[in-house]
Amino acid sequence: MKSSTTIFSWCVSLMLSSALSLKAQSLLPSPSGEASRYEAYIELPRGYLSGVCIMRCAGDTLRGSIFNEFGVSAMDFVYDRRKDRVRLLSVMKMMDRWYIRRTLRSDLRLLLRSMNAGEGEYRNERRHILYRFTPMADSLDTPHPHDTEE
Amino acid sequence: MMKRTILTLCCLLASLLATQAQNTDEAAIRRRLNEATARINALSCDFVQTKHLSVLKDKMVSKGRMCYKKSDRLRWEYTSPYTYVFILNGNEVLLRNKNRSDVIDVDQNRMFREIVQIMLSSVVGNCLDDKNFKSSLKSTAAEYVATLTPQRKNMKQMFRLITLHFNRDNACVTRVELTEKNDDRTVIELNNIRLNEKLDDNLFLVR
Repeated sequence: MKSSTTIFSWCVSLMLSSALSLKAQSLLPSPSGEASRYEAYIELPRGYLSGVCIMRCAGDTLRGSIFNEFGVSAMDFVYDRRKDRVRLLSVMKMMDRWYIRRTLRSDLRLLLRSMNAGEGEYRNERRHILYRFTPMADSLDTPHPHDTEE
Repeated sequence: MMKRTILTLCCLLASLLATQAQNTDEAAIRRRLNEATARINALSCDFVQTKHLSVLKDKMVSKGRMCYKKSDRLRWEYTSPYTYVFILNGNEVLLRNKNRSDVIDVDQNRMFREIVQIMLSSVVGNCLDDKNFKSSLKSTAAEYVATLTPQRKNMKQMFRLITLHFNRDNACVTRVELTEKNDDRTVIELNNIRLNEKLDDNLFLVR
């Protein structure tokens, strides 16, 4: 009786710890420096931006680029994980206003925090902006005959 | 002194002749390309798009298919690693991704009008005489290369330079390079180009 209770407790603990570790699995790129790719979707009150986000970690610094499906850049950013601060390196012209940049910096910081906690979505309730970054299956970066020429 | 003067005059004459020859060559190439693009009523191909990211020193490769029907029907479809469809039919554009589907009236949206214009011109290659670009042409053994510098503010904000590569044999666009202000570069290579084949109108339905 005692041993079956022990086994049962052990099983429950194992299940709980597995569930917790799954939940906490970060969606951010690993510190090894390998780039991670995400399908990016940003929904705004009067429009949306969809495309791809690529991020790469180097030590405490995470660098990212967001661009649409046609390859047109939306923004480039750097996230300092230690200071928990986002710096925008470039922003597309229609979003290049100080108040938009301020919102983007803050929202990206909170989104990246969410992604670190395993959640790929962040919603700015005040501004009604939804950010959804979904990890891509390994993209087909198969070597193209012309790539080697460049 | 006399010899030096004659030598200077000869050099000036040589450079003038070279410039004139270059202008003549460029005019001939332009004429040939314009004649070829005028003959394109339909075009379909596969494409490989490579986005070179300057900040990350990385690249992203996407693949898809494109269909064009003269003069305002275009279907640009990404098949991997994401699915995305852009369809132009007259003054309407359909954008469809896995999250949503939207139809936009190009006449009501100036930015979209410019984007559509750029896409059509790049695919067909008929922007050489477009006043919205400053263009220059050169030829190599295998191809003609047109370099376009946007002149309009909206387009300048998106692209610093657009380069079109034309096949010398059939004067078709085979490669488009879009260079942005942040030095990111997108290269689109067109393969398996099929000209003037019949295309189903259903490919261009937006509703």
